[in-house]
Amino acid sequence: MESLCRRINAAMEYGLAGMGLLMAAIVAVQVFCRYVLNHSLFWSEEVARFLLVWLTFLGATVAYYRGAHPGVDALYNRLPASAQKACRVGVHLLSLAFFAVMTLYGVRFAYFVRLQITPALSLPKWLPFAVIPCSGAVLALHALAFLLRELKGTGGKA
Amino acid sequence: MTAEILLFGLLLLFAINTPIALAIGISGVAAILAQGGISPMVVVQRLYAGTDSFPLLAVPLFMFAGVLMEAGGISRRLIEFAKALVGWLPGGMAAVSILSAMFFAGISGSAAADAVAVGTVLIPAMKQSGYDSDFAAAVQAAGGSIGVIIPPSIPLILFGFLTGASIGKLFAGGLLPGVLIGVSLIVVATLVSRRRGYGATTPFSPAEVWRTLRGALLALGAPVIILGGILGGVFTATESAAVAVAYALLLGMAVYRKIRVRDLVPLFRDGAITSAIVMFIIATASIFSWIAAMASLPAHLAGALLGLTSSAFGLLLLVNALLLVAGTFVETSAALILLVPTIAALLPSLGISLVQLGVIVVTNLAIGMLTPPMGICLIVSGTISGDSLGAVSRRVLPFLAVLLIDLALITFFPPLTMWLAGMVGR
Repeated sequence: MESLCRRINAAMEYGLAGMGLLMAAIVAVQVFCRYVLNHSLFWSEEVARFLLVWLTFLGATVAYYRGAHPGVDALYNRLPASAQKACRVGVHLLSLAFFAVMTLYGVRFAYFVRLQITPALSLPKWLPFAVIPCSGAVLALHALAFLLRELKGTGGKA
Repeated sequence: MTAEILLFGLLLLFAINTPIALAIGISGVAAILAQGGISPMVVVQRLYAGTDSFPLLAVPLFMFAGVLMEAGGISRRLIEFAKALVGWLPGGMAAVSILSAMFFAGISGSAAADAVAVGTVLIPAMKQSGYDSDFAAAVQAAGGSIGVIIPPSIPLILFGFLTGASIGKLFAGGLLPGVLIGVSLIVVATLVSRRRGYGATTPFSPAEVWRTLRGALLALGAPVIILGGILGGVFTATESAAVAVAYALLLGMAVYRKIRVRDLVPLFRDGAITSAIVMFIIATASIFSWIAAMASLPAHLAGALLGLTSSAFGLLLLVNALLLVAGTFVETSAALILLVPTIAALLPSLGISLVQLGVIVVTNLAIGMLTPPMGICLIVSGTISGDSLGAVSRRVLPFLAVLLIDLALITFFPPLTMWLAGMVGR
């Protein structure tokens, strides 16, 4: 399971870099076309916004895997080790529940909008929405791995 | 009931060190479930709608621009130029580090990025010149806070996104307050340095200024393109960010030749992860603020504040106090998203414009970056210098004092913000 998490995360990191480059390129091309070629693009804004949504949620999984989402640790740092462990287990369980909501209702929502299409490109709307259940599932997988590691007692900080 | 779940749920989750984005999301979902009668599908819909925005694209794009400018050797050139300009002052290196942070603030939109870009070079340099390590870290932390006031600024983009204020005007409004803060920090650094006997670095020489200016000219072009483009109405903040990325790539790859093609993946990856951390907070906060608005929470809180005092002066003081306390404990973007709806509801009673309010809010939160426990600039600088949070916080006190004076000026002297903001067209 740990190696699965690691491999998924490595793929996500490459995806993120690619989406970031593409996003910058699309908005830069949009400016170039309007000012230099005098021919505004109709699709660039929509695609760039979709990329932003994808980057947000896939990036959130990578940041979660790396333990990079900031918390408020003022009180936590003053707790004894056993209470800190209880906090971590509690946080993992609650996070897991949140990720489950993202995944399950994400699938239902994508199904709910399956017939809608986007205004500029006529893409199916479920395509951009799909990132939420997908990243929800990845986040849940990471959370489960953290929780298992914590319960086995080998856990570091996550 | 909904309001209680939101507030106490959030505080409880913060207390047990839940990541902020998740704490906000979980308490929002709990309130929606407790309310009943709403499909949890709204959670997914809010997550999506909270991030699907063209103005917010500026967040990752300015992060990329900052990362690329730093990797491209631009921070080094800006530092050389700053050294020639203010290195002759008593405590010249401290002044150099603040001025460099101001230059870099014109490129990057984040205070932590600013403190890292300049601090990794100048904190070791200050220590080598015999400055106390904790003082060096405090100077850099204070300088870094300018990063969010001088445009571009990610917190100002968020404020515009949350309130509908023009991001171009907010950027213009932040410029003079940012310069004021930078100059006042240099004054304090010089006074402290004179008392402690830190010497000047180099004598002043016009030839050296000219030489370093030529080296930094292309680097200084970036803030000119960003600000000029936005203020002149050529492009939106988001578009200016994309142009800045293209410009940084051109400089770093073709002109200075410091960035190779294979460096692009790690650079864009790191920029994307930092952006995603901010964006994920925005996403989950849009669940929270949706259910909070359903329960009229911002209006109730605003009403409670109005009950304390009805004078504009008193309210402005109250708003500043609230923001300072919040900025001390909560990360900047989260504090913005949680508090701005309430503060914006007070606007009619404050007697100032939305743009000035935005600059006041962001200045407060910038000060919050210099106060423990959640002082990102202190943490970053202390990590670079190897000093404890406590040691750096003590040495940052004189800078905090002058920042509070600056804040009072920004709050009670509107032209500082509005003069330039008023020039942004239409």
